[in-house]
Amino acid sequence: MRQVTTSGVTLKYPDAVGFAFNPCLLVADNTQKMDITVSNGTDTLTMTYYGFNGSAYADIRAYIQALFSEKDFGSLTYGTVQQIPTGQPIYINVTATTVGGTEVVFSPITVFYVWGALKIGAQEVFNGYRHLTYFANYPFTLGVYTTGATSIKFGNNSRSISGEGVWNVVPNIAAGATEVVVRDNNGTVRNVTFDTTFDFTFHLSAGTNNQAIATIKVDREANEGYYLRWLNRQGMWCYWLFKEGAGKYQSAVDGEYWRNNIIAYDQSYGYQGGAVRYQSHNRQEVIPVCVPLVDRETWQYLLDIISSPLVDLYTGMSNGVAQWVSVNVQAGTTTRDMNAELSDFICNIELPETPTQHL
Amino acid sequence: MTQELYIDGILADMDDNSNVWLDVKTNLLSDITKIQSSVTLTISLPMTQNNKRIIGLAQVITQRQGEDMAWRIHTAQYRRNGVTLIESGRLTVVNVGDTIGCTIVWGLYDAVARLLKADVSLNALTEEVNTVLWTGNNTPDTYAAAQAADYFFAALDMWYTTAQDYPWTNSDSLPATIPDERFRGRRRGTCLHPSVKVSYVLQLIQTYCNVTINWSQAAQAVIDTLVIPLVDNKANADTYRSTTVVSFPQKAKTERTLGLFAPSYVSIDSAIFRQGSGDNAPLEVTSDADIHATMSVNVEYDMSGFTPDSAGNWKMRGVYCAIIVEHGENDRDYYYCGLRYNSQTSIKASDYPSGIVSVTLTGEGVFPVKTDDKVYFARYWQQSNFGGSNTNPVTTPANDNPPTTFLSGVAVNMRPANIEGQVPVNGYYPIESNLPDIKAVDFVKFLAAYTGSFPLQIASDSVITFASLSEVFGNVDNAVDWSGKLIARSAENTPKEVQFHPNEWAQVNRYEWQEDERNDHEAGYYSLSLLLDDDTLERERTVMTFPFAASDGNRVPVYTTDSNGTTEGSPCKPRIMQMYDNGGNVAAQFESAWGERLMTALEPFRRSLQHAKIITERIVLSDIDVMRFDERRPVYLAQYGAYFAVLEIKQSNELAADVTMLRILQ
Repeated sequence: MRQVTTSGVTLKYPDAVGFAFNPCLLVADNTQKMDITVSNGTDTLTMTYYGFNGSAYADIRAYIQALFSEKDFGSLTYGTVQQIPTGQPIYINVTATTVGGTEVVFSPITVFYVWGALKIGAQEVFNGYRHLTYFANYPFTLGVYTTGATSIKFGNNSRSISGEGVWNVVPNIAAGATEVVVRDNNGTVRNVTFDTTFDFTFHLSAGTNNQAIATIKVDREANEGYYLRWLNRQGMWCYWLFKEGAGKYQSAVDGEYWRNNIIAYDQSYGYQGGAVRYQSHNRQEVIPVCVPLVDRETWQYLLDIISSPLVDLYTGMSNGVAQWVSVNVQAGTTTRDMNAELSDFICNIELPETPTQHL
Repeated sequence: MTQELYIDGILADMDDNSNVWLDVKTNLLSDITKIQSSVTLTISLPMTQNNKRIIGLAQVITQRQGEDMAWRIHTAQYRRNGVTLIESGRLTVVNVGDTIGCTIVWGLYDAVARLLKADVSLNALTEEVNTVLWTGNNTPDTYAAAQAADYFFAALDMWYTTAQDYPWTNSDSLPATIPDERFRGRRRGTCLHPSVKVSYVLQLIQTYCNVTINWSQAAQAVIDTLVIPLVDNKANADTYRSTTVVSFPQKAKTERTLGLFAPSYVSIDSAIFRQGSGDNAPLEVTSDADIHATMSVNVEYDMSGFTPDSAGNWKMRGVYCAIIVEHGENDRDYYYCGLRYNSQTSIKASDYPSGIVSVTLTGEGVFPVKTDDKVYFARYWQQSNFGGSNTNPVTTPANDNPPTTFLSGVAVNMRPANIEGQVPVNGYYPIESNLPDIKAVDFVKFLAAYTGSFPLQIASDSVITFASLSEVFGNVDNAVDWSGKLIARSAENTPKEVQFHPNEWAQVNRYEWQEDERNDHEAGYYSLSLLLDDDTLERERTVMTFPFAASDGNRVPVYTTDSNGTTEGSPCKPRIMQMYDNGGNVAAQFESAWGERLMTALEPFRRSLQHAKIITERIVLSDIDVMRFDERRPVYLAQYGAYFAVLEIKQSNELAADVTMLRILQ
């Protein structure tokens, strides 16, 4: 956390990068009341927190979350590079009223907030070095957070990035290459690690020019299976082509047992057999998908799919635009053999309900 | 199944638990004083970021700006499988926990809320108040004219008379002319008050509250004959429409004292004054008022013959005018305009090379006048001289002779300063502001009860449509057949549930008029009872007390015989009457047969209610069925060989609805 002292009031506030689903804390001493304004430049929310015994404490994550437009996260064009709203600078203004009744106005604070969370105390790295697989027959992006303009180099080819933000970069890989090391020309792809146990915000590492930020394997052959994308816990899109297991088709009664006496009377006196119906059944398709024998890092990469709220199934291109349909990953236990280097990753996806007729 | 719920125009997120139970309630059985709207049971919305934003982060306790979303009524639109079931609902956030609980009210709610929210009385429906000249002796308009007008004079008896007010006098010798008082007590004139059409009042309500109120043909026919004779006669600014304008004749005069004179009256407000006769032709006051008067006098002094003093100034005094109110002998109030006292004014002679000094004197103020006062006008020269010993020398002409003086443009304007009190004879009678002090919503409810109507639940925004109860209960030809839609409870042919006693109704259900001691008949004489022969019900109840009092025939007893045509004490309670053609002229009287008319119309309803069988059944109703549901159409069920009036539909996502129906006894 950063801290500043103005007119005898010390305010602790988030570091340069914050996560909307970790606590977003502002703590002031010698304060009976904190008036806080948070804004993303478009919307502004204003709130007041009261302190006790001279200490005021505010967790403003609900407001930070409200400033994101999560409905736009999936609007990816797969053109070249695209900034997505899973990260945005948030401007925070704090006015503290001291115990003595004086108003202290702090200089405006800017924190880059990311739609996601880091595991507390788990040495999890945001925006760190990654091993990725690029299925060349499917849409794919590399998600990076940059603190400024840079050029992302895929070997000799590159993509330009214009400034701070969370970017989806479509790979620009020379024909025939099977693996490429991705480098950040200006050293603006700086990572963040949770490394202070009781501090919920995060320092940026120093960036280095031409630093390697990922290795991408290119699979130009694979074209069968379920291609899924999901938003990981740190606000970046991930992709994988899963293999299909045996499908399960569940049906259930929807509606009620329907007895209509008058129909029976019409058919024959006293006979009521033909007049019984269930109103309708519904049908749900569940498909187990798997990735056989993946290494530990890829397994961790895939693991985020089981908790992601946004999982989409690729359904092909239409007029040059990638089409996705939302699916659900069934809740359950996913196990990994800790002794083996390679392990299978298995999960079940539920397709949207199948329309059926009803009475 | 797809569901779409738009809150304030934003699509809310819904999940499997977001069941929307529609509860469509008709107002057939509930009495008109308790209009109910359709509602949903509590809808649980998931706590998604989108939904949290829609309710304005209501779950956060922190005190903050703009946190009023949970206390506001939001607009809501609900579609199921693409069918708009709630077009214009009002959504309220009830609670927030693991889910967001909210309910929607729709149907009649919006339009009735407009009436309730306006909280307006009939006498405050418009600021543009029309007036009609009230002579105290107005005669009824023709029936043809009345049919085309919104208000008119209908023949009524406006007098409160009791037996002792008409003492029989036996005269030994009949006078040559029979005085009016002989037969009519001390009445003066007919004192007819204007009557206002109910249809016009409804129009004002609709404009004021921005609602449309539709009636069935039968009800409209009744309403079109109804008029409200105005009981109140409060004056307003327009009552005293004309200004009394008095002008003084132009006068050149060298005399010192002029005194009272007869001015010319350009116009006279006959509501307050009349021109008197006799010396100096004063105005005679005919009704008490505070008069706001302005006076303006142009005076020209011809100073050409006067020599200025050593400083080059003329010293002058001048004229003044006065309005004199004479309350009685030696009891006068003076209201002056101009120089009254012995002060001199210096006028620089070089400013007036022609020698003509022109000044305008003005006066303004408010003074009271009482009936029988006299108002005179006068003008005076200043008593003192123009060039006398106590002034600086004003040489020629000498010896106190004032200069030749012209008075021109002398005008007095008089209007009443305030407009409280009653409309005086020859004043203008304000119409709309004298309507009774009855809330618009109560008035509409009264008309519904009076015409045997009930409001339809399925209505568009801002529209209240009333249907006649007889339209439902007497109209089985128009029924829909739901036999094939019924989900039988069991193989037995009996309903899921049968109830026998209608809520809220008693054995004797009374419709009461306001009590008015000025009526001949005792309280309750005109009231009506809807009788249900059902021993299990409560003995008696009042369904509604109407906001009007009933009348004895054509009597609207506003004036008492000992008051010389002015109301003493409180006038009678508001009345509602029926207009009719009385030999070419319009007259009005209380609809004495209203009870029979209503009871005849309500008879099928009463019969059905008397031996009520209220069944609840599961009926397969599609979304379209619910959308198109028409409360006016009875339902036929072949299973029971009977017709039913639908009272309530409760429908969830499952397409089958719990429908409560009342058996119609034809």
